[in-house]
Amino acid sequence: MRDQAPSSAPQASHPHALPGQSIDYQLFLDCVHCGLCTAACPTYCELGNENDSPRGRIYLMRGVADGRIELNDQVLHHLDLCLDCRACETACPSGVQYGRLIEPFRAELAERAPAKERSDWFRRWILFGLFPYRERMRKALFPARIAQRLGLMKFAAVTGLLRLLPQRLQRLVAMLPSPLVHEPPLPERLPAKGKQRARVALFTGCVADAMFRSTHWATARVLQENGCEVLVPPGQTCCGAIHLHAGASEPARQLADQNAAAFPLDEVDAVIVNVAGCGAMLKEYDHCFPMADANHAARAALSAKVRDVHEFLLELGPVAPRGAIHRNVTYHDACHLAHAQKVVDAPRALLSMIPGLSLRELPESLLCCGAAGTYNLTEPEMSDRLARRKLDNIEATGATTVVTANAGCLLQIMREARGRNAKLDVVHPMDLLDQSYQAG
Amino acid sequence: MSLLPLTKTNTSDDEADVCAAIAEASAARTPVYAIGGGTSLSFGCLPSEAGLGVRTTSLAKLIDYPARDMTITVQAGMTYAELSRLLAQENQRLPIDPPQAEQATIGGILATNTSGPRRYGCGTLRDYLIGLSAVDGRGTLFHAGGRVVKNVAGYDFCRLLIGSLGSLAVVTQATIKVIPIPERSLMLACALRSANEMETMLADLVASPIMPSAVQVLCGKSVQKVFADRWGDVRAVLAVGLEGTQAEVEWMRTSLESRWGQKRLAIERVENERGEAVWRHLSEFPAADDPALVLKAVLMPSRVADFCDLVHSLAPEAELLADGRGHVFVKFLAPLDDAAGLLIRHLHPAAIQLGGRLAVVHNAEPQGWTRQMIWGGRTEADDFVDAIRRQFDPHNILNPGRWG
Amino acid sequence: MNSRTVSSKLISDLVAIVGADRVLSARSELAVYECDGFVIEKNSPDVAVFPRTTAEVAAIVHLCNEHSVPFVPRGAGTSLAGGCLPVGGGVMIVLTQMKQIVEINLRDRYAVVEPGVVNVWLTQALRGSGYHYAPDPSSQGACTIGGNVATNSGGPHTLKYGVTVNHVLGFEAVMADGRTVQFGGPTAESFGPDLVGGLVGSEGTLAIVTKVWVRLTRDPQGYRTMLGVFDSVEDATQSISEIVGAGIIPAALEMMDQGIVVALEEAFQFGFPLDAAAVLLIEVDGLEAGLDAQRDAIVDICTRCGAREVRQAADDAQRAKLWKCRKQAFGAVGRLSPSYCTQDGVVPRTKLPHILRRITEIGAKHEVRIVNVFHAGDGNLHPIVLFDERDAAQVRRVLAASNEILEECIAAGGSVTGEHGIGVEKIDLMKKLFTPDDLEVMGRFRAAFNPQGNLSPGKMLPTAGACGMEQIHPGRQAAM
Ligand code: SF4
Ligand code: SF4
Repeated sequence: MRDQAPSSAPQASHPHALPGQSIDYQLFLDCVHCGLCTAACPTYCELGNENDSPRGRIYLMRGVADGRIELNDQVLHHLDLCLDCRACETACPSGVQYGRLIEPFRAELAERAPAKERSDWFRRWILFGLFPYRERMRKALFPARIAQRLGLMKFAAVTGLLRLLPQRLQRLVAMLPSPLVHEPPLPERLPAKGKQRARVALFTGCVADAMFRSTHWATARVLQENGCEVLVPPGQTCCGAIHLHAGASEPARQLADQNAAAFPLDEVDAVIVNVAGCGAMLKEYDHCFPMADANHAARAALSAKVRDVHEFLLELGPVAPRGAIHRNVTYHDACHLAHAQKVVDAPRALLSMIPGLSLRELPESLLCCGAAGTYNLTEPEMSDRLARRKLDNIEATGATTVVTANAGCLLQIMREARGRNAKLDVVHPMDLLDQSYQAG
Repeated sequence: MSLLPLTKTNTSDDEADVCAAIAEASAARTPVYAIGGGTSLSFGCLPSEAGLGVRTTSLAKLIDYPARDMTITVQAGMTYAELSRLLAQENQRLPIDPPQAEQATIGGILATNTSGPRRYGCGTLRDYLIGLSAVDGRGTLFHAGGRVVKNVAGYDFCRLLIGSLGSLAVVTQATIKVIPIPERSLMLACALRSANEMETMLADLVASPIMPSAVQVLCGKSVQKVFADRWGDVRAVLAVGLEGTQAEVEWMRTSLESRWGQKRLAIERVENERGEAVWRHLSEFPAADDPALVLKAVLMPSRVADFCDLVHSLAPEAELLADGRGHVFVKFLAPLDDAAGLLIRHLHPAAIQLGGRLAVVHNAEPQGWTRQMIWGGRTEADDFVDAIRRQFDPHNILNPGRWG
Repeated sequence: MNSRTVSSKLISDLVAIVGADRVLSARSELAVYECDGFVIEKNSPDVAVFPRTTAEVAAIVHLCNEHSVPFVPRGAGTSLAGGCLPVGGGVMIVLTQMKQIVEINLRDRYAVVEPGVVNVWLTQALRGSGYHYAPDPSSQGACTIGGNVATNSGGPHTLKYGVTVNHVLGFEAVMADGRTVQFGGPTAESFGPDLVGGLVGSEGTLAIVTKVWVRLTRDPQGYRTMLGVFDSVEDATQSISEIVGAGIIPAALEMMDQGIVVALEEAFQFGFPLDAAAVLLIEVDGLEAGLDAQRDAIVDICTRCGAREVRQAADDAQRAKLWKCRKQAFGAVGRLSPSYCTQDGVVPRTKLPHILRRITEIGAKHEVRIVNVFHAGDGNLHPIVLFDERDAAQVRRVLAASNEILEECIAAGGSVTGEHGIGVEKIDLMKKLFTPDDLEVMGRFRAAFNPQGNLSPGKMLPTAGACGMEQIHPGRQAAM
């Protein structure tokens, strides 16, 4: 019948007979099937198939949980294709919490996956081997960096040598920014400039620290310029988002606990995050790990203190940067900033404070670029389509610089720009702000 | 009226009469010709089959006028002039401006889709008609739409019947959405020197923030009649109607005068009594001076100037009234005799090439005119017009032959 | 209720036309297509197909005719009346891959779009051009222009700018027999019966639109947006009447009653007094030169009619804020009650006080809570009935109340739908709105286009063999 899960469902070894049955059924019921979210969804915009739309996916998940729809390859594919960008949450007038449906559903699917699949080289080496450990990651990237410096990458790309790498690794290599500048690690404490207005802790994560250490430096300097004392607690680690989304909720929780312990919450006004994806994850520790274990309160306390850097600066009242930057720039909304954290205006407001900067509105700015965590590795075809669409839109603005606040987006857009030989700078808002402060 | 092959004429004063007359005619397979004010009887092909005239001029009652709802319901035989008088009492209007407003009925305007100079800014009857009652070719009274301004229940017969020339049903009653009479209305006119300039000026208006209610270009001898005392011998005049609140009209006037001033054009501000006279002249154009032949073309707005140029190159004596929305009336005061056929055969394809269509809307000497000459070629959409007619009028008794 | 009416031969023929990746025939993938925004009636299509060209649509329709199976077009599936329900199964022709904006011609003020173009995409494409496409139904972020044409969509700006039909110049369509025909085109009008007008709003029962010529409207130079807070519904409706009587046609005139105001306050803290009986959102637009005078007149009228307060938006940000409270109204209602359903009735504007009183009485009689947010300028009501779907007795009372409200609209000289359409939801109400003769003529009209009745069967007209379904659940609530 309608509106309730069927009481009798087939039995299986898993605590719930069917995937999705652990999900609070009310979350499904929140969706009134109005379809107002469809055109906000990147995969639906590309494919026009409602099974690849939020409404469709909710229907599929609920149908599977009800035992009404068979969990076959097609259904799995439609769910796999979801970017978890949560544009649908922004669009939904009924307040459907899509992330709280797809994330646990996927986690359950992953847990049910046959052991063979779970232990493929990609998961073992890249996901669990590298992502949590920034030094390992930096080292892993090191040869690539040298290769890039020497122009070998280009050589490899031209000669087709790159194609010899396993496909997913090949994509990872293609995403590397060039050239990677080697910067020293951030110290544990940086003093405020001028009158101190706040004391904050900076979250540096894993991927981002490995690939964008310069942006962390920029962020720290911008915070200093704004009168913030910046702490960089050494015990922190990967936020765990990639693991959680890959269905590894237990390792993810361990990372969360480690982070919760690492930050001296009583000593700081806020924990500042400059990478949208990490920020969204940290803010949601509470409902991602609802288990009432000993560390629950600590995780919740951390979540409560987490602020996106743009959001924080705007609330603090930013000190106007004075150095002029004469550039045409456009801003791309990172999904995990705009949709997951609802931070849309703040980065624009900060950028428009930079003298000389011409900020042009990007068409379809709220549509995912296809990076979406490891999506560009797992669903390369859709990821590429969305990257092309994003770059077409960027090029249409005539901007020479695109600004975005997420590591994945930066890499994705850079890769696509490189692929089509577009002269495009891809930077984080903090990079530009820092430049303006330093020049002013 | 003598244009129609009538055996007798009924003057009905209620709907039931109309139904009965048509039902009877249907049974006897007698053609029925609905007649309102009789101002457009030569629109399209001329029927030849003898039949019954159904005059609607007595079906002219006001049914309901809730002025605050900005709607009015009247019987279809009410004249436009009478309707306008009623509306004016509440400071409202229906901005359609048909020629011969004292005779033209609402039913007739509907059947012929007549519109006037304000179509540029205010649209045509299709933008105002919200409900109707009509009698189909079997004598069945039916209704469509309603009396509310927003309504999507059922098929939209209101619009379907617009322009149907009484060949689908005889309209007996109409509910119309009306709008307030603007605070102020004036017209700016300027002389044009070439077709090129005409398109430049029209395009400039479209690109400007000015929102005129009328954009008309008068070419030919009638220009002399209306504007000669100002500018002497000009070939064409662009007249732009500006309506709205005092402040709006003032702003549009200044802004247009300065746009035109930069082009060093002679400008006339037409207002008050003279304004009335000019508006009237433009509205009456298609019917004024007892013309021999009137054609109406509907084109892409950007092609209107080209079309006027073409007509004048073929027939310099043609009087033209073009419109920024894409309408062109081509009027000949003296019969063209043999040249008519030649001209019309040339103009139909030209109109199609310019993105539109052409039809004969008045013809004093219709003998020998074929369907092709009057309406131009058939399109696939016409098959569906036929299909609808077979449904609404299975015995083909409503205004038969009008479409040729 | 689904029994397969299509053969595997039909499916393989469809695949031959569009390719396997654009045909869905697995049950699991068809499930989402079993209903649209109206979730009471469900029926899965037997196959869904995604054409990209008019020629493909035509080939699909020919095929359906050869196989004598029903077929129904679908756009974004946001109909609230079951307009996309595949009654009798068959082939669903999903037009979402026909999504090109083919041409924008500013000089002649039209654009040509394919049916799957989302309404707001056209707005976005026109941004900065000085023109826009005027019809902006509240679902404009998702609904397609093809769907707008099929349902003659409205929105909050219809009072001044009209509905979809006022902005459609022509279209190309594949007819029920598979022929491709163009009606109208880039010119403003043509000769003969207005088939464009007759086909707009025909809810997909006469033709499948494959390309649309829409009129573009000049952007207004400016806006003035006001929000009037009233102590009584009568004062608010009186103000509306006076504003219109003063010769002002606002671009939007929206009203929210006390129930909505309370919900909005709970949710967003706009700072409205909780005892305000009604809030009016009024916007005038047009030439900058005329706006201040119109605003002053409106403020004056509202104050004279007893408004407690009239707020004015000083800039775009404030304007956005005032609109936000209107746009969030439905979302806020979700906080009042686990489920709600929205109706779509119309009355003459002057009957608003009467109908609102009756709605209150009807709510009291059936013991259900009803709040109102609506397009007051057009008299288009959207009463929202709150309930708990787990309570079967309450659900029955909700249905009874909804029906009574619509009957009251008919009695007041109005209609049972201003913008959602008849679809399958209101098919039985057609009999109350129209005489048997009216419906018979409508049936004949349909027969002129769709003589076999296999294009969108079971929609709009009660005579066309639709199963006279008995409603057991109110509209617009949780799916399934
Ligand atoms: S997720 Fe929200 S917007 Fe999408 S169909 Fe469900 S209720 Fe509607
Ligand atoms: S999360 Fe993104 S990709 Fe997934 S359904 Fe929502 S909008 Fe679509």
